[in-house]
Amino acid sequence: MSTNSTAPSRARKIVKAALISLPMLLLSALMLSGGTSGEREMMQIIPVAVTFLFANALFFLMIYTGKTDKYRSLFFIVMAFCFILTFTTNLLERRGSLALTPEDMATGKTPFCHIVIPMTVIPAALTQTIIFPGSILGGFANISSMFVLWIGATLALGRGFCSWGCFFGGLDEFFSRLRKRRIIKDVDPRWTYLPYAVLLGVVLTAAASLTPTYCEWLCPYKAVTEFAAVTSVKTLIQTVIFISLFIALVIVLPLLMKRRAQCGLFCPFGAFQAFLNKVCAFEVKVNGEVCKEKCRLCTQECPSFSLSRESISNGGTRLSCMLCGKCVDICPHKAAGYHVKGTPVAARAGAARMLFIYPAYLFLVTFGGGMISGAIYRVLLLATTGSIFRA
Amino acid sequence: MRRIKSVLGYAWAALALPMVLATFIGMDSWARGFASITGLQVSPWFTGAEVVRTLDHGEYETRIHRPVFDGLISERGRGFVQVVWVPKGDTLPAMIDEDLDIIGDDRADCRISLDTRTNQISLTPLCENVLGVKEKLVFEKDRGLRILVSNPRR
Repeated sequence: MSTNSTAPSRARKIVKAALISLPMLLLSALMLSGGTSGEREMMQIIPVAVTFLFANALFFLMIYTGKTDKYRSLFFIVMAFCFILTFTTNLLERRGSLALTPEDMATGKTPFCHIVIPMTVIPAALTQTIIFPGSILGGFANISSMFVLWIGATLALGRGFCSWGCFFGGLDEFFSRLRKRRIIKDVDPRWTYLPYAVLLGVVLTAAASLTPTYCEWLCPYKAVTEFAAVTSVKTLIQTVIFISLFIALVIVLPLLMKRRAQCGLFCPFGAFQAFLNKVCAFEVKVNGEVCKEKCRLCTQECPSFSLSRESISNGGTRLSCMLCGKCVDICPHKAAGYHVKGTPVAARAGAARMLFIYPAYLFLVTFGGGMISGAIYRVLLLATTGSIFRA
Repeated sequence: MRRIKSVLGYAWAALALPMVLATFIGMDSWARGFASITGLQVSPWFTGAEVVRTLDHGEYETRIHRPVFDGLISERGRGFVQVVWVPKGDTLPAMIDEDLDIIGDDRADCRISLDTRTNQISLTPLCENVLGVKEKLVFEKDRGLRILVSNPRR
């Protein structure tokens, strides 16, 4: 009897999820195709088609199961690894080397990265210059485009960018999800202020020296993207720092803590973006009437260390919340949920989630889709021509 | 008041999707608009600043850039001057020897010998403001040099 009644209800659930997913299907088709219907080679069509199917399958599951973080995370992690492959092969093709030379810097051939943005603000305001060796317009990842992307992402998602857009965050997230059990269970809450200290430090030193000091000395991701050619003791020290920080913050600590250590405990852009969470319409709220504060599952699992007993008693997360949705997924009492600011806490939690995940996932798919299809294209190129580079 | 806040909240939330679409669809025009409205340029500490003088030597040109002393608020005591040798044909002459006025005080500040095949550069300061070689730049056809200088105005 129960089998007969669950089958139609499951079918209804599938149809409902498919209907809700339909706009994403159309929007992602528009964004991934670049809005053009011109002729393309099969080698370019296949990667886009695979990315399109992958993205929409995950979105359908997100709607069908009601789980946000699980499927976001999968796309986010794949995007990060594909970014490394696409970025490095692009650089090798354009510049011939991953090592950044003085000539590349003088001619503005360095791709701009969002992490630089906080360091550029004071010098840009006072000198009208950007302290980064990229190009303002034109070329690969130019400064203006990255600023536009960041402004759009910030207005729509706030610090949600760190979980739905940052192409580095997926590496951290990948390692934080590898182990089943965590070795380091409690982290002193004072460590969560470190990103703000790093932010203050790099903003002031960058303004004083007119160089992006975080990129020069502290960025762990230099270890897997581009780096200054080792030609002196200074560049050797810088390279050792990059590799050490990458191993410690992106691999070892996330493995031990099962949290995003680099994003939650070090990244100055994350700290900067936390302040900008204020301009976004969304937040995560914890309904105090439903939450009994007994299980504390969310405070232990939050990847960005944004939930604590104090924040829960205040009804939500700390400023640093990345809107990843993990607490929403795991809360056994359904006390945590996406929330539209200004609206009553318990009201329309489902609608708030939909209002958030549509723009957030579309951002992720559009931004990350190019990286994933780019990586698939490189693999296809390797399989068919024996070389990962275009002839 | 509560109702107004609620309506505004939902309106702002509903705008998030169009904002994402507009960001990507209008990326090129937004980026051009951003560049023109802000008037931002890449710092001269990276670009070497704009060319202020070009010396024509027939088969090649010597381009002398503006001295870079730019600081956050006022000029710095030390900076550099970028000099680039650009061939008019395919290649630069094998040896270039020049006395250059790089600070713009109408007298030669340094003597430069450049072997364009080995990229060996010898710099002889002719005034106290020239401090040495900061960086060599080896482009496909052009050769460049950043010369460390002290600020004559400080």
